[in-house]
Amino acid sequence: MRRIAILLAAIAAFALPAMARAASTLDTVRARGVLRCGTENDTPGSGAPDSKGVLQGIDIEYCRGLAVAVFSDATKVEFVHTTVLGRFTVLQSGDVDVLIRETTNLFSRDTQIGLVFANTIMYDAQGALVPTKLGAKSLADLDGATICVYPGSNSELNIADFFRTRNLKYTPLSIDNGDALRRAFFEGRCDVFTGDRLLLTSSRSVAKVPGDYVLLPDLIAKSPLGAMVRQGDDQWLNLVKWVVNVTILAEEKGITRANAEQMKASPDPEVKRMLGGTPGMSKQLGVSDDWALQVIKAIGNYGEIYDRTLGEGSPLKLPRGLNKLWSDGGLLYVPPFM
Amino acid sequence: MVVQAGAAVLMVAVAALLAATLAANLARLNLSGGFGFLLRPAGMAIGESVIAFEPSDSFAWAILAAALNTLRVALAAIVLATVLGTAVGVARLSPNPLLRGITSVYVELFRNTPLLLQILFWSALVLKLPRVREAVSFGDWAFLSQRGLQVPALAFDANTAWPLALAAALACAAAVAVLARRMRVVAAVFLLVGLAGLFWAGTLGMQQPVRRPFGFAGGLTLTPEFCALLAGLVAYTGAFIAEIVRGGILAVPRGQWEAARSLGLHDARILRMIVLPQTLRVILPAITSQYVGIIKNSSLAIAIGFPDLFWAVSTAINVTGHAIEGVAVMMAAYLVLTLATATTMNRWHAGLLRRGVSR
Repeated sequence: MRRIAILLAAIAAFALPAMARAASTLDTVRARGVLRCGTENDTPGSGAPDSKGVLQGIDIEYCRGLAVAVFSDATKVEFVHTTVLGRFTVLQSGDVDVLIRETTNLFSRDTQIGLVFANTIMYDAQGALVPTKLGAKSLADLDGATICVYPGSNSELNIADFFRTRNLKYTPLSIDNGDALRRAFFEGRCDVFTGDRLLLTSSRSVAKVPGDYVLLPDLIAKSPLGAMVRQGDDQWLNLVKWVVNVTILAEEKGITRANAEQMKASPDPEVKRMLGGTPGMSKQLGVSDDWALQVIKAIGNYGEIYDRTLGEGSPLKLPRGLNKLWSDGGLLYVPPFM
Repeated sequence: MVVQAGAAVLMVAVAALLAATLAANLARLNLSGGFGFLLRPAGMAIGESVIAFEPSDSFAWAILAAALNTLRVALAAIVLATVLGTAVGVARLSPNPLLRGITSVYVELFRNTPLLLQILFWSALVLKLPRVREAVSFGDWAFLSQRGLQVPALAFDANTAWPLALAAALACAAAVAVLARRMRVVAAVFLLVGLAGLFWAGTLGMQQPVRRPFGFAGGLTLTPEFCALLAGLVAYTGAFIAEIVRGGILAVPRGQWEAARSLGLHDARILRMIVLPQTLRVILPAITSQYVGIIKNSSLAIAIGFPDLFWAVSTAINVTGHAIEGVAVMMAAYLVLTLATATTMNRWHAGLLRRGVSR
């Protein structure tokens, strides 16, 4: 009888947490005292350790920004490495609170798997990286090539469509590990490496001689990369969304990491509102009045973040392309802070 | 009786509770259940497959194609690991110290390091082969490069079917000759004549690999991923089988050797005709576990990019988001493979015990 009682208790212990997890994500994060952010640790630009072993990258920055919004402390974040194949499961199961790891927004991912995209962090496109000495001008020249691609990525599906519609053949090689996949490409096992251009540029930056590889001009598919949360918690979705929005607004308004504190005295009423001048405005978001100020002071505006992690200030030197403000001819156009 | 009934009721209640929790959680996460997603077009391509597969085929077909890859590598590994393991197991008992030393080092090295590490090692080794444009040619019939080993394939031409009938007749004649024992030479001649006839008539031919800008066309490819996974599984499991074989041989009483020697038999003959059959009876259950282990360990293929069952289901899960159903499909598929292997082996073992080979 005692054994059965123990068994029952054990089952209850397993079953109950699953049922009790109806609390809001923000409350869960607060109670835990740390944000769990699904990221990656093997893709420079998105997330990879620097020479001191500290993770750096645009996705890492936005995790830090979110931690600042919740805790006013950029260190209260735990980075959980996720693979391409495992990323959605860790978010669905509640192991992480948010997934920020250059994930492409797709209809199916946004609607069918219980998850939802916040906003786009980077407007990217799927490209193709090839050795320079291959002398290829376009992907369509590469009939019969072997192509390295992440398993389970939308790139894997897009490349199949690309070759199918042109009646060409190729052989895929899919490895769910960044280092192994890159090695296969650099060693010549594959003729082509396909994926988002952020990933390809990042991979090229870790090649022995980056100049040995060239991005083909082909744009195989659009690839808006964004943050993901679980469906059904609008407050949390809004918070993730607005952390990204305020960095873009900050660039628009000329607010930087350095001048954020002074900008509180700006004559621009929108800047004032954003930096906490109207108490109670962010109450429904569940965060402090000056959260946006803290976020900008911690990670800077979008332009600063991009430059540091992907642009001229980084080894990748990725041009901003579509990721410029709308006023500069880019796609960054976010709602006003009002 | 009451306790048993109570336990049964409890088990059912627990299962129902878990199922209800699962359903509630899936609903809360806005995830729909069901296996319908398996019939959706997979959209992805597969690196190698023994059955025809197009991206427009369903996930179910992709999983089947990938399961056949798992089966292919597992079967090859089972055969090769058995041969290697038996040879090494016997060699470890050899009176020759050099042979004993080498085989001991092999066993200890491969048994005591993680399999994943070994597979990555073989994979890295294969990548060090010449690039595909500098492929080593063996008289233009076979090519070795980091894209794998390209060998000629047996091509079959169905348009010339009449020689096939002739060959079938010759094969039957050969079979009869074999059944009649003592006529093995005649049987071999029949078979050779039949085979030569097929080649001469063009029904069977050798399809030679031809160099193309990005590899080869025609012929059969043993891909580097297949080779690396196979090498890893064979070397690792072979070391375990060697120890099982060695233990099995040592379990046969010394008296059997001595009695056979007193009859004037050579050691090789004693081993083959007297010791190994008795060993087989002892070691078969342990060997079965190794075979099942090979099937399960083949899922490490994901680390080097061999498109196996685990890869196909993981990809399907990632694309469709049906993690629980996908894992259920994967478990069922592995169970079918492993249980079939275990059942076959256990039947064989039961048969050996019934016949009482050792007596």
